[in-house]
Amino acid sequence: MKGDMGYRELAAALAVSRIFAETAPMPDAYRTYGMQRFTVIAVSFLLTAAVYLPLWLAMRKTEGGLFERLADGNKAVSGFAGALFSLYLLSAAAETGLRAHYYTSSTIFDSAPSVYFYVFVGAALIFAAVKGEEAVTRTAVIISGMFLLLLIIVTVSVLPEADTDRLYPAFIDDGGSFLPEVLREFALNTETALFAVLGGKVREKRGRVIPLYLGISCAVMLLMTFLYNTVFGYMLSRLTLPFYSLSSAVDIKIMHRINGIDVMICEMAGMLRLALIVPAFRGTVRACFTRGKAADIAAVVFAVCALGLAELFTVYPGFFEPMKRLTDSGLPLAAFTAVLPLAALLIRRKKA
Amino acid sequence: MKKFVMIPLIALIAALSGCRSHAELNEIAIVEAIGIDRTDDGYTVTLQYFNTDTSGGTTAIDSSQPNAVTVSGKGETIESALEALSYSCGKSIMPGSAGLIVFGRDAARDLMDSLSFAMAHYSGNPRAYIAVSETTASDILNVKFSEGNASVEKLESILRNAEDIGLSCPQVLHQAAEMLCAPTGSTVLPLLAVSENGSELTEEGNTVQLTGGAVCTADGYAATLTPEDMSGLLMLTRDGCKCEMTVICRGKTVRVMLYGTKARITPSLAGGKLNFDITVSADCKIVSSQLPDPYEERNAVERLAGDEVSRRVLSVLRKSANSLGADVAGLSYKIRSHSPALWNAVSADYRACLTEARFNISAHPEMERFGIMHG
Repeated sequence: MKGDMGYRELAAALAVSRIFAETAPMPDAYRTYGMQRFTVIAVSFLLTAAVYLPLWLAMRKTEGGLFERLADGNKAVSGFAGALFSLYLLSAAAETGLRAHYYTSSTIFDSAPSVYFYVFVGAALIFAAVKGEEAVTRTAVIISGMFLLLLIIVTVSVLPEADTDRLYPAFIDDGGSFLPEVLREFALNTETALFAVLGGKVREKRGRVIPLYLGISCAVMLLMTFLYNTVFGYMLSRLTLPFYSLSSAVDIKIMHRINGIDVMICEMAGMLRLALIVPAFRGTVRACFTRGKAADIAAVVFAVCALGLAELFTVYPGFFEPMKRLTDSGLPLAAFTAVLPLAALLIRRKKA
Repeated sequence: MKKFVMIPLIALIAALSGCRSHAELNEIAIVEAIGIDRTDDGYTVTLQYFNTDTSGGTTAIDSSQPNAVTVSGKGETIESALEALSYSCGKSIMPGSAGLIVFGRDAARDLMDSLSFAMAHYSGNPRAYIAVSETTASDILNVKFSEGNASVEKLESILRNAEDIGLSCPQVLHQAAEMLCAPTGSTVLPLLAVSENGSELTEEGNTVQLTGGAVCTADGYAATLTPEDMSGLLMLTRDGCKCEMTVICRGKTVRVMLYGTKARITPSLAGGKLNFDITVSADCKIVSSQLPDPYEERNAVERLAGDEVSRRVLSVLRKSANSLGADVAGLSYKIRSHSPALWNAVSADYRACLTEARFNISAHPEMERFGIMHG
């Protein structure tokens, strides 16, 4: 059952969604000045590409997504996997909501009540739950265009202040923190798991979606790391929101006049990430449990729960710790993009 | 059907915007410059903000008058002083447009903490110029220039022009903060002073002058740099800058301009001490001279200009690195970029290493173009 999504649209949507996680860090996450970050990004994307291979193999010869294929083979396995995947999506959505809320409440929304944030994001999620992934990815093209423009403006403006002497020939600064950092970055590539569901709706050439997504995201994140290191140097270790600080340093009057436009664009990227997760959940429910209106209602309930959890984690960050430890290990992502596709391949072979 | 839903919704968006409390423009103090002085019991903050009472409506901005108001307030912290100012002037303070932050001589310690009020606030302006006053910051901000919309524009121009002619090395907020986060936590800021020279530019006949630079460390105002030192620092840290200097060739005064400067710094460890080989290259030309035939003497002028560049660069490094252990030229980045292993060897006691560091400086200005006339 082919859908109406273009592969470029989906790749752009996934890339902007991933870059949002880079621009809006978790409340306790700090960037440090150094070359290790370049290596961490490169290795984590190579790892993601490697883990994506089984998913690609599993989805290659089927028209739908991974869960349709699993459901064709074994309903019990697909139901169990679908339930776990839904929990994973809920955790990813709550984390995205937490990041977006932290970013906006630390910047332009510092004095505005939280309800404003939830009204905007809630509207986007209901749009995603009702209209579905095609509408979300079409909107994503506009958001990715705006984000690209912002990135170009920031890069062009701060590049004269970039001091390449702040780069040095080293790959790993701290051996002890390297592997956890790589796993944390790898675990943020939730987009490959989203592709397991949304990829089934791509019109043509869906094999190109993830390579394109990986290439764009990796290049943009390396560029951002280059700017952070060369513009801020040692000060990077003291900045909680480096991208915000970078865009504040832009010496272009329009950016000063429309104060907060950079935050709004990043916020839209956050909404997009959430809006991609909701149709992915709806697709999972449709493939594994029920079709028709019940899936739409489940998606709306999922969106409400995600925002509720985001608020809970904002107020009580301690509640998020166990979940964060699990997701940061990269195991859930690896399970859904590598183990589950391999299981799907095995079930199919057994059935044949 | 959709229209019946969408039209009320759009109308609602427009109508709801009036439901939140808001401040009119004349209720906001749009800060253009901030002065920070330290007292025994805290801080005195001086603000220069745009005077909305003399403009707008039927009254156009009078560009011949200083449309700026200067007020001062006290508090235990900078934030509490700003709050006190907000009460006293009856306006909400908007520091995001501040183009200049001046520190009084006594306030130039723990600068990073003092700057954090502007760095940490979401609407802080990371491109605001930072300077130090020879006396107090309020002295500087109370000089009323009689031209331009606001005095701060004049002060910003002084700093910008000084960099253009190679007399100063101005820093904006995020650059200064970056230096203060570096291992020695030190930076050089332009030094401003009030001069009573009967200037016609100001109402009281005084004016603000740039007298050099202030080396600021965690302990406070540590040393004063002359304009020549500042041009040495500029050549060391900013490639492509220009500066003018006077050399004496065969008993005659020659004014030389250097442009397109480039410093190459190679660090090494020799005998347990840090060693920096610094080569400064630049293009140069004679601006004016009393020599009968300057073209004939160009090689001698090049050599003399090179000696002067070396003297200026060495002077700033002696006053900052050797005397104070202050890395105002970003040498730690050079060491790291040259050899991370060398950085690992010296980073633990970097300040002490700097005080014993040796600097071998050579400068090679080249006069490739001689201008329209050569004699």
